[in-house]
Amino acid sequence: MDDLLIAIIKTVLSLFENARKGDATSLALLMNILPDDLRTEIAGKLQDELDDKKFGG
Amino acid sequence: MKNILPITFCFVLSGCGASVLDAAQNTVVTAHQGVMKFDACFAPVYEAARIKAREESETREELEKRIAPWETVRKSLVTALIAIKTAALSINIAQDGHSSDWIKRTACVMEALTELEKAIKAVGVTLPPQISEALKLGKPFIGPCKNDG
Repeated sequence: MDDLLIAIIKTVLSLFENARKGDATSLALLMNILPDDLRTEIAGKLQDELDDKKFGG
Repeated sequence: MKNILPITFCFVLSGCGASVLDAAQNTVVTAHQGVMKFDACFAPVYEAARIKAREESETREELEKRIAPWETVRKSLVTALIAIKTAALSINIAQDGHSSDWIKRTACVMEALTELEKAIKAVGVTLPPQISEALKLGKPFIGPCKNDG
């Protein structure tokens, strides 16, 4: 169990490193596994959609 | 390198590994409280700024220029939260007696908080006291945060 947990955590840490380098996929994966999402991020996604409606996607 | 010396000396001279780990945990917990508190207060302010910027902009380029500082805060918040979560995981591993890179991960929290502080100041919003406190608590952990193993 410990080994499995450590392997999972290492994967998370690796995602973090890639996200820091600007990899959008890693960032999206991390945001999905984070238990408490950020309200600003939720608001931002909504505003992005409204921007796309006005200016095109 | 010089930034991690106080931590190294602490280990060598007084064998205070556990208390240094506790200090890292305090920093990370305080940072988490600060980030979540700030997020709750900032979200409506950010939303209003985005709406105003959209209304006042004729082109996407104009819009992007207007919202750039607000988007920096949004990105910095996400980065800070991820840094905090990964540092907390690393600290938990160390507390369970396994080796982990918790010092580097705590350094990443400090780097992310510093960027967040800068971004918050740029939009003229008040910095929550917990973030200032975490920046003070975590000073000994300021150091390299990079993917070098």
